[in-house]
Amino acid sequence: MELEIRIRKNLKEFTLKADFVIHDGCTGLMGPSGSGKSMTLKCIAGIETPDEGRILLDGKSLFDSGKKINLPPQKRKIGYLFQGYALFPNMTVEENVQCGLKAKKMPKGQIKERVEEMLERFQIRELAKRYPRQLSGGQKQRTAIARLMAYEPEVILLDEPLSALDEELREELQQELSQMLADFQKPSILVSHDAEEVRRLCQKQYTIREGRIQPYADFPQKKGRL
Amino acid sequence: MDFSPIIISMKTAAVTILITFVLGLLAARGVFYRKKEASKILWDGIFTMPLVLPPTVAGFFLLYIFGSYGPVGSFFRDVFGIKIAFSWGATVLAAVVISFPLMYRSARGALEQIDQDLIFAARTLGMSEWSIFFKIMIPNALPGIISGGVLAFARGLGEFGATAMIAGNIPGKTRTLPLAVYSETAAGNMDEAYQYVMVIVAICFVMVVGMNVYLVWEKKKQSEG
Repeated sequence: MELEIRIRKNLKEFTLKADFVIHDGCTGLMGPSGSGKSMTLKCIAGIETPDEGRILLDGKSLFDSGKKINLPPQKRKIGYLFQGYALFPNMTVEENVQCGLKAKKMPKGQIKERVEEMLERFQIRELAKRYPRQLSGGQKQRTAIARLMAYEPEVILLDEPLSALDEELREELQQELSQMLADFQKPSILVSHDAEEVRRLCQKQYTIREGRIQPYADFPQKKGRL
Repeated sequence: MDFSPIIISMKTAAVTILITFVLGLLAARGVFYRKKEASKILWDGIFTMPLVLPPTVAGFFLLYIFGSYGPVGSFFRDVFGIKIAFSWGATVLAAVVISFPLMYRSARGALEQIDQDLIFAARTLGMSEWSIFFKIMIPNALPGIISGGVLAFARGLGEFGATAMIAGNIPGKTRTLPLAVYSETAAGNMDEAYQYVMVIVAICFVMVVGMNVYLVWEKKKQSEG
């Protein structure tokens, strides 16, 4: 698959100009905080609206200011992993995973099957009836991943999922993310300010500084996986 | 003791809170979703007006609009043959208008406290805006919404000024507890007034304590997990 991003958005300090194309596999988006990387992800997901430009997924417009197309996030099929995971505190693990499927109006039996499958795959079976506040950091991440994978997104966006964690947990969760991204295969973008993290999880990286995307670097040892 | 003010007040307060709760919540949602700051400020100003205006002034406007010769009042009179002013319904109308801002402001405050990422996450999972409102926003803003409801209920129960203007002070029809306290005191019937006062104090005290018990319980539930 191919995700093409050509957008402009006026921010307080500078104008965000994101022009890049990504393909299957994970692409890192590096940059210091406040450089516009999270905003870029939010524009792709449809949470924020660019001032102009277009976003194409396999040739289909998600956003096109010229044609006045702006699909709401509900119709973009883009999974978003938030920094704090954004699990719904009023719902159990199981209900969190169900959410997207109910929204899809999937038949009940199928929802049950799919939820079971996700709980099994991300090893949160025993936690099904727990609430997010009763989970450890790792369990929260797995629940968030199960929730977005259940929804079968076309693209996954990861918004600094590991930066708020302590060293030890980070190692562990990095492993899990790496596994998840390898299984996913379709395009994904990881936003981070940690070069090491990007090198481990991504096959390709762009750097963003004050809203400008710099030419990308391939990681030669991983090129084969692209 | 004449029990009619107690019955009228309870009826009025009960119907009022149902209407105020829904309207206040919807207004809060509406303003929350406004994108432009100027539009938020304008709507917030309009919705808050009844709270800052003297109740008699709010009542004056109500009389102007819903009175028999007002635009809405004359319509109801001519089309349905219903007189709004000085009817029992007018006590509800006055109480709704006056208590509405408390519900609206508490609900809006509570909605704005919700972690934005929860709403964003729900959108990327395909949930419709109304589904997000009922399944994510209301449950996660519940303490603030409930407090708003309790405050609005108490305010509606205690409504005096606007009620006197639009509904009058007709014994057995529109004389609510606060109006009964005023009337009995003005007539020098201090014993009667005292009884009504005690009823109001008792109801209000129970409600505020009840609200605090709920809030403590809610907090405990959150921290215990």
